[in-house]
Order: sequence, then structure tokens, then C-alpha cells
Amino acid sequence: MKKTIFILLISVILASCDTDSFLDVKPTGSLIPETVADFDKLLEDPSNQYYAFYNCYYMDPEVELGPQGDDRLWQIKWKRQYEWAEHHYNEEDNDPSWNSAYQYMYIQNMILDEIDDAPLGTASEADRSRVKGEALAMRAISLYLLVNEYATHYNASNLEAPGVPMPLVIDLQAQLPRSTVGEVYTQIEADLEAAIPLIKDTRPGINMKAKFRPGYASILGLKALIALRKADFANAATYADQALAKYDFLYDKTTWEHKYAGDPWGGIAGQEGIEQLGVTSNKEALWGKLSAITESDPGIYWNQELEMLFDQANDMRYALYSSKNNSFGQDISPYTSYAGFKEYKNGGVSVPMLILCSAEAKARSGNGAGAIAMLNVLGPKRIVGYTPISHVDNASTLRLVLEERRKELCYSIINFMDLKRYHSYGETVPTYTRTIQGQVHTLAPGSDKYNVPIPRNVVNFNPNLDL
Amino acid sequence: MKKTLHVDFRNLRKKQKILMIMKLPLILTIVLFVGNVQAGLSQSGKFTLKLSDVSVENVFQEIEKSSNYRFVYQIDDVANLDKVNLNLIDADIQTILSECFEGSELNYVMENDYIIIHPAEKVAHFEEISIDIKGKITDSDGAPLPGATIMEDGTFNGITTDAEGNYTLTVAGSTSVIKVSFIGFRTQTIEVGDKTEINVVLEEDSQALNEVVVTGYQTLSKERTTGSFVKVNKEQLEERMAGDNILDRIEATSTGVNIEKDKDGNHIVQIRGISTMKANSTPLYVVDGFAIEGDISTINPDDVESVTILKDASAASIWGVKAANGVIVITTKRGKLNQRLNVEYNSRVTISENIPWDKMNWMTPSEHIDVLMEFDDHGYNKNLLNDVMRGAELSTWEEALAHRRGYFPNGNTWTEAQFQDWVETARNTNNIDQYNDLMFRRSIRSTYNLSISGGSEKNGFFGSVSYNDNLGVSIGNADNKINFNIQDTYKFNDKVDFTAGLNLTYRRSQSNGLDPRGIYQPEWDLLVDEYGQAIQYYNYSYGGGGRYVVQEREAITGIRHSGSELEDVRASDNTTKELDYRATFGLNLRPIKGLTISSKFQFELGNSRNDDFTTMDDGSWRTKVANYYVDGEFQVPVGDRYYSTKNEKNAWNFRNTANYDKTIGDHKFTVFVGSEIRKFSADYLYNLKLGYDQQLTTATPINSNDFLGGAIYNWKGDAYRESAGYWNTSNTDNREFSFFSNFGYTFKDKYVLNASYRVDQKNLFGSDPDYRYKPLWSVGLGWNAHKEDFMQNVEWVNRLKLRVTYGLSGNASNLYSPYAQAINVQSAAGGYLFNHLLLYSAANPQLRWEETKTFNVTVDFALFNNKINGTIEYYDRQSTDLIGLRSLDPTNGFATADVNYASMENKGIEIALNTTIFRNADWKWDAAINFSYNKNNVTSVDVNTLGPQWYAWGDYHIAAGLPLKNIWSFNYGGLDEAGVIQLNYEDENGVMQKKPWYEGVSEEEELIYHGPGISPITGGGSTKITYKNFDLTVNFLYKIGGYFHYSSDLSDFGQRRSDSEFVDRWQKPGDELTTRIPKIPYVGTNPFNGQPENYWDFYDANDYYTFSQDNIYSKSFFKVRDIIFTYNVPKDLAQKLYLQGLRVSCQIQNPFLWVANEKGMDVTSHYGGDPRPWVNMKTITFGVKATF
Repeated sequence: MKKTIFILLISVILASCDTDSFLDVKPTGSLIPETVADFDKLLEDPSNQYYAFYNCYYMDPEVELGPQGDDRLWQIKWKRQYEWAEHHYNEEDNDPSWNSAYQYMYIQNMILDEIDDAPLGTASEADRSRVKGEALAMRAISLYLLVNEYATHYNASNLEAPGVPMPLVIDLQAQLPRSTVGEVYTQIEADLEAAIPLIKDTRPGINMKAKFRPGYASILGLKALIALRKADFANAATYADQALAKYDFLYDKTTWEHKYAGDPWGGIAGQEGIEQLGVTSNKEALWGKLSAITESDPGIYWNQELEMLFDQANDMRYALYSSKNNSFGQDISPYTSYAGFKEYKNGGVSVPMLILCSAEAKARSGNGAGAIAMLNVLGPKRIVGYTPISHVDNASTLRLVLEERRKELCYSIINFMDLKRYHSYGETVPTYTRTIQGQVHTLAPGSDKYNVPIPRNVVNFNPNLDL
Repeated sequence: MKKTLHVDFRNLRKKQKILMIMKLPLILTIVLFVGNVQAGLSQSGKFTLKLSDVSVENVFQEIEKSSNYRFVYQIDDVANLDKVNLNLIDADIQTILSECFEGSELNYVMENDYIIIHPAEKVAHFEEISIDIKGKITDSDGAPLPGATIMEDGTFNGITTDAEGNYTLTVAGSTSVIKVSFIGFRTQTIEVGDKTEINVVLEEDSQALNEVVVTGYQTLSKERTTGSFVKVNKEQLEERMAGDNILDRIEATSTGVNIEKDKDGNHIVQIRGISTMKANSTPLYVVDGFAIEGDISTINPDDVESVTILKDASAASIWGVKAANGVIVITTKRGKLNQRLNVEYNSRVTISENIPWDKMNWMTPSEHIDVLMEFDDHGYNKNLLNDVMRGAELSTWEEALAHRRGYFPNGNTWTEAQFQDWVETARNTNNIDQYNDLMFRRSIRSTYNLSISGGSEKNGFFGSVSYNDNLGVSIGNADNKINFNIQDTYKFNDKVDFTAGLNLTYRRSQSNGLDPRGIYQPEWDLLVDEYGQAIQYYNYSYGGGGRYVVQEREAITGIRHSGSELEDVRASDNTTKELDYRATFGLNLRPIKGLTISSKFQFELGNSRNDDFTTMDDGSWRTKVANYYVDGEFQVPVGDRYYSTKNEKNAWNFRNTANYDKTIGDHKFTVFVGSEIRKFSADYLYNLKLGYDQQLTTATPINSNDFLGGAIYNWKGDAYRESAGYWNTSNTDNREFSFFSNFGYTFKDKYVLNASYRVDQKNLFGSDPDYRYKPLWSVGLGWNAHKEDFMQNVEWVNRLKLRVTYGLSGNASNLYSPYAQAINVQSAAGGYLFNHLLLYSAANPQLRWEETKTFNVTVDFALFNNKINGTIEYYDRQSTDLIGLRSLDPTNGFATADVNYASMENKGIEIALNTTIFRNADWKWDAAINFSYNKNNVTSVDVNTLGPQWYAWGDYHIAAGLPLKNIWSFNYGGLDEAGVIQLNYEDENGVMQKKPWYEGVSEEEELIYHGPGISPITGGGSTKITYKNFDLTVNFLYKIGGYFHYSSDLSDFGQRRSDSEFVDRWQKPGDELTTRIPKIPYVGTNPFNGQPENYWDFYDANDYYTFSQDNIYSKSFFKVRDIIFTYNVPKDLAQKLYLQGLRVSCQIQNPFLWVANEKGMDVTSHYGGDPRPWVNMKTITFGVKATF
């Protein structure tokens, strides 16, 4: 009897040693992404809308701060943008633009590496193709935004110019050097070409909800913007028109009113979404990437030259966003506040950007009438009592198109990017100066100061980037 | 010959039978039979016995069971006899006894039915008896001790006490000496003299109990241990009755244990410093042999028998990975076998003092008005007209200004005289008395505790019920708790016993009160008018709109936008209910001599539920509902907002162990092996309902996507947000399997070797065996030097023992995985809700367990006839591969990751001393003091992620050569002639210079390093004076070293009451010579230097003052934690009240405090969620304990 019990007990002890099946249950609450469905959900993160040219806001020469100048810039990185400084960030500070783009590139690379062999999960084979296409296109737009923010502009005669590092596989230890601008553009175009057949060609061809994810039209739109940057005007016009054929929504701003009559700082009645909720709520977006938010403090003032271009009484792009007071209610004359209070600007692909891209490409390739036709699409939605214009000659049409571009895209950083682009076309761009505490800072055309410096905390890790 | 030995046992037996019947259902649940005992009385005093491998005492018990024979003996004489095997048929008692005593030095004498056992060399001599004595044997609480033995010294004449502890004995004469003994008590020797009644109070042999070390797995004699441990005894635990949590009662009693409270009042327990940066740093709590998942507050401190704290690697190597931070082993009370029914009742009530408002250090209302006027002068109300026009909410001060300035559309413009009237009234009004009367009170805590315990020869039981009621200082904060506890031990026979226990705790707490430091309304906004009615304000925190604008809205919606803090507090309805069960069942088998096989099971279930109702009586909620009334529709449903949170956790452990003890000559071996399997799972559910009706228990359905995505707008255009979401659930499933073993060897009771080995496996992500599988080990050596021959002549040394251990322990966290991990998240953007995955951690194939190697050496000593005893310990813990946040090149995807890269060390010395200073018949004075020093140092860190200003802002600077928690400050250089904050710095020539704050701090050298954030020296002690039935105990604690940051600011623009230090703020040039308190910044231009300033300076500039050396204080203090006065009512008086014992006591907590910080703050105390130290309020507790 005694022995029986003893043996029984020992066997209980030993039986409990067979623990593999017991321990193989995975803890819940988090997961290792491995199915197509998981990958799909990774791309659904709305922080994919961050950022486009994030570090360039105060670099834009059209940003005016008035007599107090950069004293009102209460973040050191803004001051450094404003003076086109050699470094924007302290050694210990992160650059959100760089970090978020590369973080998403890690996810895109992970998906592209695994998706062909991944189990479907709750997804379908059609999803596998779509998710792969989206990951490719999203990697392309990340590279496109990075290379234009941190490197010199694309120029067919200088493809060897240093671009940005281009991780295409996961490696936390990699110390990649900068790829050349030419290599980066080649990769961007290759990714987009690979994406096109994987994405279904539908109308409207955009992701109506998750605007930070591309549809067919979004990819065409990005191809148009890239072609414009490469001075490939024929393709720029074609792609832009193809994209617009699928999606061309424009707000009719002539009907917009202030929420508080006479007080532009209170915002636009009924448009709280655009003001508070990010680019995904902007219906004009084909591909949402946040470029700038206009703060009330430090509020910026209208550039006095830009201001003169507007029909100030009737052009709602001026009338709605102009105030004689700053946000604290103080009179700031002779300046005028730019009161685009908390408006989120899209630096990705939008309907106005494509209209103007198409117009510019047509104007530059001899189709002046086509260009004017595009302007006549935009004008009535922006200017009260708009009178359609007509083509006179190529030079005046191009001037009209570029002025319209400056007005429509003001304070969204795209104008600043245009200065780089015009210089790469060989056109004359002014030299800008800012005097700060007696010291004159100069932004010469084609200067490296147009390019955001690679943050020092990155260079410290990777000496291969220290050029 | 007179019949001297006569005891009536019948009464006792009957009682035991009743108890047996009571326990029967419990026993029936066990279907296990071990049939190795058969005994029976056949006829005419003949026995048939079949007993194998039983102790002689068991033989006696069998005989007593089946006959009238009763045995009288000294326990010590019999306990050491070898076990016997009997196989006798119809044997007489003499045969049996000679079998039992064969080879021993015992002999026996039979006197009628009494069999008296005595050592053989003693000659039995019976003479004519001359004296009859009688008496009663009790314990120190007055409880009778049935079964105690009274022997006439030098004879085998003796008797045992009856169920009431009474005895009668006839002894030889007045020169006779009697010896009274009972197991677990000190034997007493008494001369008979001319006494005929000798009552004896036996003292529990606490020395003997202390000699035992409970590791939770094993109970070892102290002589056979090598590890580091501290034991807190029962007396200490019982005395500090005001502590409702066992941790309050062990505070400052033990070396190496640092107990603090966090801002929410939860205990933070650290044993020998911190050895991890990211993983769990709390010790493991073991209750009655099992690690518990439930809160330590579910243990009724009145049920605790002893607390043992295990501190070194031997603890970790036996308890595994959870024990890397030490183990607190709690043993609860149990009924003993052969014990009379003991009923104990105790109750106590604790009352606090009133809130000492004067220690809040607030400025006067008039000074507060001055501050607001200065804000106005400096341009802070430039926007007031805009605010009025847009209908923003205004404080009463802003309303007064708006009236004066004619901003209100209704034309109610005040003259200067009217305005000055308002100001004058405000300066002379203070609502603090109303707050004190209506919102606060003295806290009262009462506890009632009833326990019963007892035991028959087969069964020991303990049961208790405790009720605890607590009314907090803030009206609306209250909780109560009821605890049931039943522990049963059933001895089936000598080889088999069972234990079963059930513990149940139910708690209900309400937190609806106000934080005294969080008072909202300024001094002049009275709470109630002269009729006691709450005064209504258009409160600027409601977001409802200003008084004049919202009148129109109020008319539309019919909902009042005004309210008051008093109404809000009274309307809050937040209740938490918690129910915790813990059930244990155990089986012990002793199949052969020295071998114990145990199988134990524990099940824990914990439920908690929080119901938080925000009703329409709450001003800010009511206003919110009204604000979302747009286009004739209440978009946010009218009714309560109801947050409901449920947590359920459930855990089970199943453990099988085998322990084998063997002594061969001078060699003693112990081998212990076991395995444990364990599962812990938890569920969490959160639910938010709107438009809830508590009467109907129904809610109004809403489209939560619209609410979450921000698609609902109020009449002002603000989107509705609910940060916590509407529904959320999560669950946890942790599984572990462990194998462990321990080997002990003792030679001649002098030299001890101890070794442990354990392997833990967990169901962590991934299957990399390196990660799942971690062997932990320790080796220890002990030397009982006082047993050496050469020490026998050193008379002043009574004990000297050296213990050394070295071992490896590990720490791991379920948060980390070698694979990339993602969580499911809902994010709102653009009016939509996105359900997506967030990749939060990169793949890290190099992930490893954290390792800590611990060396420990301990010296135990007792000197001068045990007058002084103590322990001195030294330890060195080297932790490597610690997981820490490390910067990576963000280009590769992650800017930071948690990787194994850091190392840290903890070294320390601990000293504990106990002494009896004075002792005579009536007086006794004992003292104990302990001292612990811990030096915590990070030894290697590769990269630091943060800039130096972060160290000053309170993020610890993790760097080699510094303690993990460290305190830095800005080197504040005072103010310049325009009131601009200056920083001291050393220029390149080493000369101290000043620079304005906006030039910032870029080097660590520009900061001031103060020292560790945790006091390296901690300790405490106790002294006790006993005079007859009176006891006076003083417990104290102290901490030396360590710094903390304490500051207040004006960053709410003077809206709330502020610290009086701002009365001395800089106001005009020249003030900088007399003050370092910064000015109120200008919105616009500083007139004294023409430089721009704005309100951001409250955050940017003033930070350099707020986090400067001016606001860093020393943590050092010495404090008398409590003074306890106890009176034990004399026995005879108590017995007149039909009680066995009665004790009344009084405990005063926090009577005296000496601090090194000039603000007089008690760093051991926090209130509400405020992280800053507070005043620790004095309390007084009255208690009574009665034993029936």
C-alpha cells in the first residue's frame, strides 16, 4: 500500500513535467504580426499621415514674423529653421519627420519581406496583392518626401548628388550611407510601377477614409508630382489629368463663413474637421501627408508681397484668413495676421496640387489654353464672382499659373519646395535674407540651406552619413 | 498507599468528538486511505497491535484510545526514541512497553491505570506522601494548558493537566521541587515550600520558535540555514494594532527592507535596493507556502503568526524568477493539536486629528488678490473682451474686471467704487472654514476581529472574522472590509495529514471626496450662503460659457450651466467593490522515516468592479450635455455618464515536493526536490454608457464611432472626445512551470552546506530555449562557531554563527519578446475611427534574462548570557544584462528599443541589535535597533537618451557611477534688475558667470547634482518598558540621505490659492537684492528691459526656478512612528468578567517628527494623487483584546 502511494505520487510529479503543451499557449493582448490581415492593419495606423516637409515651415521665405522677428518662436528648432541654420536639432533631440518616415519604412520593408509567404489570416488573396501594392507605394511616398526635404532637388545633370539613406530590408544594425538622388528616384519609380498592377483600378481611386493609404488615383497623382519635379512635363500633365479624372473634389470656399462674424481667429463655421482633425478629414486630399499646422502662437503674418497678389476682398483664401489683430487681440498693423488657425495642410497629393501641376505642365509644354482651363476650374471655388480668364500668350499664362500656385498653396511649404524646383529648371530664384539680432542670414538659390540637415543624433550613430 | 493520580478525561474526549463531527464534511472530501494502523483491546488488558514505523508516543496514544491506561512522561525523554514496529496479538501492557523501551534508558512504573515513564537510572521510591498540591497551568494569555506535565523532580511521580488546565499532585514534602513542562513552552521549576496551591503561567518559548526559519517551502532550524533572512515575531506584529495592512506592522522592524508609500497610498517595498530598470522590482509575497497574486491587503494582519523576509540569492534560487527582489513569507495562525477552544475578540478605533490647514502654507486672500491684480497689470487679460464676446467662462474676478470695463452687452458697468467694493470684500473673505466644515472631517477607522482556535488530538482549526470600517478625512471617501479566514489541519494518522484553508475578503470603497490640496474655488467664492444653500458660479472649468452668454442657452435647453464645487463633490458617485478568495488544500505523507512528500494546491480568484456615475447634478457634466444640444437635439444623451470597470483575476498553483532528512552519526542530510505548475489569468472589461438611468438601469444607445472619431460638435464647434473610449477589454494568460531542488548537509551541527537549484519556464513569446529556460542556483556555507570546543571556554559568547551565500538569480518580464510585437489600437483621425495594429517593439533576437549575482555574508551573535544578540550582514549584488531603453539609429526603424545592455550594483551593510537593558521581577526594559545601508550604482550604460535639462525636470539621469534614482537641479542664479531668471555657469576660465535662462543648459556640468533620490541609510527600532502588567513601547524609524523636489508655481495664472512664497516675488528693480522668487512674466514687453515676454515664460523661464536648487530638499528624518501603551488586566480581575485574559491598549501614531527639510514636510506621507509629500496626521487608537 505504502509503495503504491509513493509510486502514485512520484508519477504525479513526473506527469506535471510534460509541460510543452501547457506552456505553448501565447499570452494574449499583443501579437507578432505575421498574417496578411495583420499587415493590412499595420498600414491602417493614421499616424501614417505624418509628415511632409515637417522641418521646412519657418524656412519658407514667405513666413513673416513682423518686428519681433524670431523672438516669438518659442521652440528652438523653429528659430533654427527661420535662420536656415546648419543644424535644426540638438544632439539629443529627435527629428520627428526623419524618425516617423523611417519607422514606417521599417514596417513597409517587413511587410514586403514577408507578405508573399504569409498566411492569409482573415484576409483574402486579393488583399495580399493590395496590401503589397500599398506597402510599395507607401515606401515610395516616404522616400519621395525624405529626398525632397533632406537632399538637393532632382536634376538630371546631377544624379550623383547625395540623397537619403534607403533601407530596403530590415536591419537594426545597418549603417547605410546616403544613396544618390538618382538612386532614390529610381527606387521610388520602381516601387510605384510595381504597385500599380497590384492595386485595383477603380473610381474614385482613393481611400476615402484612410487617406494616408493610397488608391489607384493617389499613385497616379504622385507620379504626376514626381514627373513635374523631374521636368517631365508631358507625363506630369498626363498623370495629373488621369488622377483628376478619377477624383476632383474641391470645396467651394466662396460659401464659407467665419464661425464668429468678423473674427477669423475663431475659425470657419462647419469646417472644424479640417482645422482640428488632421489631413484625413480634408476631402480635397488624394493622399494625406501632413505638411504644416498654422499655430495661433507664434502666429505668422502675411508676406506683404504675397498679400498683394490676392483680390483681397473677393478671394476667400485671403479674406477668410486675414486679421488686423494677432490671436491675443493686439493690433499688429501695418502687418496682417495669417489666421489659418490650426488648419492642417496636405503635403501629399491633393486635387488643387494636381490641378496646378497639370496647369503648370501644360503651360510649360506649350498648351497654354489647357493650362488656363485648369485655372478656371479652381478659380470659381475660391473667388467670389470669379471671371473666367483666357489664354493670351505662354509667358503670361505661365506667370498666372505660378501666381495661382503661390496663392493656393501658401503656407503649406509647397511654395518653398517650388523654389528648389524652379532653380533646378535653371530659372531665376531670388536670394532671400533675414536679419536676426544684427546678423544677416542668406538663402541663395541652389544653396544647401534649402535642404534640411540630417539630424545630428542620426549622424552620431551612423558616421557613414557624416558628409 | 494513597491514590494520588486521578484525572477525569471523559469531559475532554467528549468535546473533541463534537469538533470531529463538525469537521467531518471537510474530511469527507478527501478520498485517500492509508491503512497501516490496526489496534484493538481484545480482553482482560490484552492488546492486539499492528503498528509499523511509528513513534513511541503514537503507541501510547493507541493504548490510551483502546484502554483506560494513561501515560505520564517528560516529552524530551520519549521524543528521541527510535520508531518501533509492533506485531503483537493478545499481548499484555508490559510486553508492549518493554518492546517500546528496548535499548533505551527508560523505565516505567505502573500505578493503577497510570503508567509513569522515567529515565532508568532514577530509582523509584515511594514513600508515604506528605503534601497534596493542586493548581492550574495556563499560558501567558491566561488560556489553560490541558495536557501539561507536572513532575516531582528527581522522581517519576507526575501527572498531566485536565481540560481546564487543573492538576492535583501529591509530593514528598516541602523540599520537593516540581517541574512543569509543555511543548512549545519554557519548562519551569518551582519549589513546593509550604504552598498547597501552585498556579503556573508558562511562557511561550519564543526563543525556540525563533530558531526556526520558514522559507515557505521548508521549515529549517536556524542552525541549518546559510541564507539571509529576518523574522518579525508575533508580539511585534500584534502590538502595532493601528496598521490594517501587515506591511504597516513590519515597517522599520527589519534590516534591508525599505517600505514607502506612493502618491496613491500604495506600499512600495524594496528589499536591498533596486536591481532592475524595466522589469518588476517588487518582492514576492508568500502566504502559507504559496506565492499569492492577490493584494497583500487581503491578509488580515490579526491572523498573521509570523513574517519572515528572505533577502539573498538562496531565496531567489528556491522561489525562482519572481523572487529576484526578495521574498516576504507570511505564516498565518493555525489551530494546534490538543489545544483547548480559544476564543479571542479584539476591536480598536483610530481617530485622526483635523487637517492642519495652517501647514498648507497658502497666501492670504488679500495677497491672492494682489497677485491677480499684478497678472492684470502684466497684460494677462488683454483677451478679456474677446472672451466675453465669444462667451468664454469667466472667474468671479474676471467678471468683476469685465463689469468695471463695460464689456458686458447688457450694459451693467461698474463704477470704480463698485469695483473697489468687490475687491475689498474678496480680500476679507476666506471660504476655508466652509471647506473644513462641509468637505472634511477627522478620519475614523474601526476594526472588529473575532477568532476561534482549538484542536483535538487529530484536528487543529483556526477561524476568524474581521470587519474594518474607515471614514476618510475627505467627506465622501470611505471604505469597509470584511475578511473570513478558516484554516484546518487534520491528522489522519501519524503518516498522513491534510490541511485545508479558505480566505475571503470583501472590500467596498468610495472615493468621492476632495483632495485638500486640490481645492478649486478661490477664497472669496463662498460655498454656501447664510441659509446653507450652495452658491452657484459659472465655473470656468465647466466649459459651459460665460454667465451672460449662456442665459440664452439655458433657456433653450432648460439645463443650468452654473454649479459649485460643493454640489459637484456631493454629486460624485464612485464605488469600487472587490471580492478575493484564496483556497488551499494540502496533503503531507510521511511514508518512511525522514521522508515527507507533500502535494499542495492553491486557487485564487479576485473580482473587482468599479462603478463611476457622473450624474446630471455634476456641473461640468450637466454643462457638457447642454453644450451638445445643437439643432434641437441632445447629441449627448441626457442622463448619467456611467463608467463601469471590471477586473477578474484567477490563479492556481499545484506543487509537489519531497523532503528527505537523514542523520548518520555526525552527518545530517536534507534533500528536497519539487515541481510547481502555475497559471495566472486576468480579464479586464471597461464600458462607458451615456444617458444612463440608475433607476431603470437603462442607457441610451449612441454611435460610439461618431463620438470617438470626433464627429460630434457642440454649439461652439468643439468636437466631443472621450479619451478612454467606450468599450475596452484585455486579458492575460501567464503559465509557468518550475523544477527546484535543495540540498543541505550539516556536520556535527557545526558546519553547514546548503545548495539550491531551480529552473523556471514561462509561456513567453517565441520558443527560443535561451529565453524560456533559465537555471538559477545558490550555494551557502554556515559555521556554528559557538559549538566549537575552543569556544566553550569563551563564556561571554553564547552564539556565534557565520553564514555565507553566493548565487545567481534572474528577472524577466512578460513585456518583452525576441520577435516584433504589435498591439491593437483604436485611433481617431479626421472624424473617423481606425482600428489598427501598432508595432511597438522591434524584433530583438538578442533578448536575454536579466541576471543578478548576489554575495551575502552574515554573522549572528549572542553575547553576555544572551543579553545582547544581533546580526551583521554584508551583501554585494551585481546585476548585468539589465533591460533598458537605448537609443538606436532611427534610420533603421526605431529611435529607441528596450535591450539588455546595462548593469548595476547594490552593496550594503545591515546591522540589527537586540538587548535587554534591565530586568528584575517587576521591571523589564528591552531595546532593538536596526540599521541598513544600501549603495545603488549604475555600473555601465552605453547611451543616454535625454538632454541634461531632463535630469533637472525629474527624469533620472541613468549613467554609470550614479544611483539609478538621482536628483539634479538647475543652478539658479537669482534674478537680474529686470526680473529675468539667471543661471549660474562656469566659463572656460573656471569663473562663475550668470546667463539669462533662455540661453538654456547644454552641459551636465551646468546643473547641480544633489544625490540619490532614495535614502541610502534606513532603519528603525523599538524600545519597550514593562512594569508588572503595564507595557510601554516606542517604535521609531529614520532615513538618512536622499533628496526630493518640492515646488509650487503660479502657472494657473493665480486662479487657485497659491503658496505664500510668491508673496515675496520680484516686482520692481531692486527686489532682486532681497528675493529669488521669480516675477509674474509680462504678456508683451518687459518694461524694465524692453524685451518681449509672454505667458509661456511660466513654463519655459520659471522651470529654471521651479527645478532649481532652491526647491530641492533633504529626505533625512527621524520619526517616532508610534507610542503604544498596553495594560493587561490581572487574571483574577479578568476572571470575574468571565474572561481568561483582557488587554487594553492605546497607540499614538506619528507623535514626533524631526526632518531635515525646512518646510517641515513628512516625506513618508502623501495625500490623494499628489506626488508631493504632505503632513502625516497624528492618530490615536484605542484597542481592547479579550480572551474567553
